[in-house]
Amino acid sequence: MFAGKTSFKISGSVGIIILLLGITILFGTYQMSKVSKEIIIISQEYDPLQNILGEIRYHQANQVANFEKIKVGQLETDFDKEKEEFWSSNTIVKSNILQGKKLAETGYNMATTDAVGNDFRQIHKMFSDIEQTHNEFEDMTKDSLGSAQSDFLLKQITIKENQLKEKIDFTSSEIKKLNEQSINAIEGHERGWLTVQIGIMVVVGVIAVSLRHFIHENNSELKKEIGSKTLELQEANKKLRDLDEMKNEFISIASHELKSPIQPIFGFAELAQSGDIDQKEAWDGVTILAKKLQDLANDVLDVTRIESGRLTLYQERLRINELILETTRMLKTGLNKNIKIIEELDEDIEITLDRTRIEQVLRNIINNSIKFTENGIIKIRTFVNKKSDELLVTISDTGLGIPEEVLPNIFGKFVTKGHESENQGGNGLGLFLCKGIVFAHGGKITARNNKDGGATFEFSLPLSQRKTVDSVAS
Amino acid sequence: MTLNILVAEDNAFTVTQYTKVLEKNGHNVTVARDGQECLEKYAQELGKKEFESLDKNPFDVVLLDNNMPKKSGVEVAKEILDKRPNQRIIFASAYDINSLLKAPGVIPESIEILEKPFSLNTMISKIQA
Repeated sequence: MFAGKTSFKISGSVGIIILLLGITILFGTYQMSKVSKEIIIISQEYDPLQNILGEIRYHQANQVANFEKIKVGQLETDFDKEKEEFWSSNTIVKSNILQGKKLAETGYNMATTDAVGNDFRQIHKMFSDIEQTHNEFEDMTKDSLGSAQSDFLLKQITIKENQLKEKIDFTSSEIKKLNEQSINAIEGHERGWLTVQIGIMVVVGVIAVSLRHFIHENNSELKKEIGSKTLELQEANKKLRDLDEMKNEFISIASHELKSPIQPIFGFAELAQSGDIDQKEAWDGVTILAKKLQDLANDVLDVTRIESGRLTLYQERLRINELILETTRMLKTGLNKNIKIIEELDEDIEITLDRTRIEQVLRNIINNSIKFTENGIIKIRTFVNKKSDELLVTISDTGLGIPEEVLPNIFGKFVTKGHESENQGGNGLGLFLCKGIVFAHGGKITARNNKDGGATFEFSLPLSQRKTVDSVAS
Repeated sequence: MTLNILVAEDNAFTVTQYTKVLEKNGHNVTVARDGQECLEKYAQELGKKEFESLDKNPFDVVLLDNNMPKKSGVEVAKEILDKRPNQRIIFASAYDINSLLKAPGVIPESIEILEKPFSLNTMISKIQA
């Protein structure tokens, strides 16, 4: 799961990086194609202008040459052919100038930016200049051809002619400059975009590096989290295993307890049938065994009730000393050990409790004491503490005490057979039930070993009735 | 034929019933109420009988309950077999005998089994077989 997520993240990041790089390259290619297209368009616009200027230069030179031929040989022949060529050159020059102007106008109209438009306006102006100069030159040559030789006019014509040449050259060089400028501008633009592309690549690189860092960080954090979660799960698992073990142990104990009275029941029946024992002995034995089974079944049921919080108390007002004395009287009757049970009871107060359940608690604790005491004293004391509004019941014996390893879990379920010398099998539920019952009454129960041997159990019961006491479980 | 039988069983009623039936059939019964007592009684008898014959086991049959205080039937059986490998032992237990048998090395193969509950007559036939 974790590995899957991480690989997903990494592949996602790599995908994003590749995508960004792809976009950059695509963008670059697009820019390159756009730039070369612009260069072509511009050269397409500027080249015809240069051609026109070339034509103008050529035909102007032709015109001048023809004019000089005419002028030098004016007196000898008519020079019709030269004159013709002169005028046709004139016309070609004019039409070329016009064409140049038109191209400049078109360029101006088509210009995408103000700067380019300006450039074309300048070009147009230069062509107009050339036109004007040419017109002047034309007028002068016309005058010169029509009249007598005038050195002054010829000089003027030569000056004009040079002016014209200069203007054409100037225009040509200007156009060349503009062309270079725009190419430079495009190149600059391209360089800008190159910078942007490099920028994008650097950003992508930074993203990749930081992503790697982030993933690494994330991974170590996740590793830590997984570590702690694994520990938690291990603990939970151990708890569950322990619970399972306890449950299995309980089932094993319970099933043994359930099975063991069956053998003697069969035995009683068989012996009574064969006449080896009398009927009364058999029935008495069977009754005792049936009672044992009944008690076990009740205990298991009570455990279930306590664990599911469904232990119902049937409470009544009664005198506590009466209840204790009655319980001890019953226990004393069945006692077959050299044990003295002594009651040291405080004021005989009335208290609200479930008689059967509290009797069960007393019986369980006192029976435990009897179980672990060979001969000695079991003392039951009560103390009415009006300050803390509770009745304290203490049962202490002079027996073997509680083994240290059992003491912390003494009120747990299935805690049994802790003692080497235990002669009586317990089902390990008695003290668990005691705790559940005392808790349900709103009291507390504790166990400790006496300094001079034996164990002491102490439980408290609230003197005043609690509101929620009706059916409370631990 | 009279047999010397050692019975280890913690249930008072069961012990009484075993004794009654076995004595009725003319056998000598020694009773132990837990695993520890069983081993002690076995060792005691072993000490007595060793002077009589080295080959003879102190008891003809040891009838063992598995679930006893202090020492389980399996532990007792192992200790007895360590001392006298050919001692006849019968296991009488309410425990899940099958799981005990399936675990290898837990109970020696020579041990016989009576699964509780059983009829006292069945027990007699098994012991006298």
